[in-house]
Amino acid sequence: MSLLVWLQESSFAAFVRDNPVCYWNILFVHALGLSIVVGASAVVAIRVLFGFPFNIPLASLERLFPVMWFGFVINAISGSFLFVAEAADKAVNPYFLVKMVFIALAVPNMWLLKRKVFRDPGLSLEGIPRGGKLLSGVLLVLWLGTTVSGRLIAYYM
Amino acid sequence: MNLNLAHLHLLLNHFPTVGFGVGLGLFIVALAAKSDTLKQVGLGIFFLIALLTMVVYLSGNAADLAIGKLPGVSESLIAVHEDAALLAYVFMELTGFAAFLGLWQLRRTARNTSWNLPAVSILSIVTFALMARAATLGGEIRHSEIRSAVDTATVEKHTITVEEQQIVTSEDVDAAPSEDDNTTIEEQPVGAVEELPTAEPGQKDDGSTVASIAAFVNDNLWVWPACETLHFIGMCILMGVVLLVNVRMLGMMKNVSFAAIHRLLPLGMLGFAINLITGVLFFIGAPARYINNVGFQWKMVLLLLAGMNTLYFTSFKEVWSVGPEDDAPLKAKVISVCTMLLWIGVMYFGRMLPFFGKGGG
Repeated sequence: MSLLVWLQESSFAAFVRDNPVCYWNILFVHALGLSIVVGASAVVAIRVLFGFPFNIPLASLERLFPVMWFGFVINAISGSFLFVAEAADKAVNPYFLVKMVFIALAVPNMWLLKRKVFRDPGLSLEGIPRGGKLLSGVLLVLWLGTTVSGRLIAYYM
Repeated sequence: MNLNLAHLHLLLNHFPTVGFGVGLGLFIVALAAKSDTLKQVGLGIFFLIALLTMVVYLSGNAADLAIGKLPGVSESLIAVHEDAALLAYVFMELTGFAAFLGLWQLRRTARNTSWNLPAVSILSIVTFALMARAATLGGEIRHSEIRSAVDTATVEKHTITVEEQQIVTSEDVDAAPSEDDNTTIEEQPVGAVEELPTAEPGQKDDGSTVASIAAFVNDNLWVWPACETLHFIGMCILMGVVLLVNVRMLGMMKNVSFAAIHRLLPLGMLGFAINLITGVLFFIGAPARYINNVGFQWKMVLLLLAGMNTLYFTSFKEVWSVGPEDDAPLKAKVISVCTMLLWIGVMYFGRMLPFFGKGGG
């Protein structure tokens, strides 16, 4: 806990927290990263789950994975800044802790989806490999949970 | 700033009525002539006017702030107009979404599925009637010459009927001296307008629908956070589709035809619909907080531009015909990148609302 307090009281944290231009721009970047990682994941997951209405060859959607990771890295960095700014407060915010659990589950899920579904040699036949739908559905739920709990952090008193 | 936005309301309020009427006429001719091109133009007009109506609705609140407290202006007339405008606005947006689906289907199959054109026809006629009613009621706020003494009393009780209004209007409007809306407002001292107290959430309690929606949003602790969360989810869905279009246009998914990507456009529109509904709830909950916020004003400008670009990817043949392994035309690449930047700008000003003004997300 003392580490968190030290972080929160550092001059860097004070700068992020007390400079409105800095703080709100980081929040914007965090929202942008969110829309990239969750938006791209949603398109892939919906295609795998519901398949036929969208007609996009599954294999070509693999190109969206770098886009997702790009969004994720943006948010890991901007999120770290936001955490440091209020480290001790965030650490006791239940929504924040729940959000971390969702992310900790979503990241390996994203990796598995790419490995199990998009690296499947049978992908060219356009069938969904076993477990693909499950992974996609779970990924959607995890990102939904991340978004909801992340948004609610601001409303914890 | 109030004054400028009030002017904007007076300028733009003719589009959802007169402009939409022109679109409706064109659409009926298109149906009669069975011309697909004319149908597309008609549907495109409906879509664009539905976009523009967002600004007309929002700027109406600026007009309310500018003149609502002035002597001789009836708050209840404004409340009645506001309710009528909200109802007409809802139907206008429904027409806009249906028109978008019509354009999307026309592009995909060269003819609409059986339900769309009848749906657009019915929605647009209802919208036109509701808009005409809202406009009539709005005109009476500053045009006492088209109002009757009987009506004023009726309005106070909120039991006004459209029929009464139409009779009064048709009898009296010709005889009335023509009065320019703009000059009427300019005659008011600027200082008085600037110093008006901004309405606080839940302050108005005039029994109107708008006031009860505002009370619902503000008095239940869960509504605002729930809408914020949905607003972010809608944003992610919309952004996912915008990204996908960009990825294809810029050549990263070259083996996919644009026709395949085109299938996902309604999903993006669903994200937008979620955000339109939650956004309108925020706005009704705290109009004064948004309308004078520079960030919000920019957000709406960028939103209009981004929305217009939707028509390009929904309808234009040059994008539609980008097949597998085809390089997208330069114009499509430029418009695609611009559209994404516009949406990012919408997000920027949305997220920065609390920075530009007090309160917000």
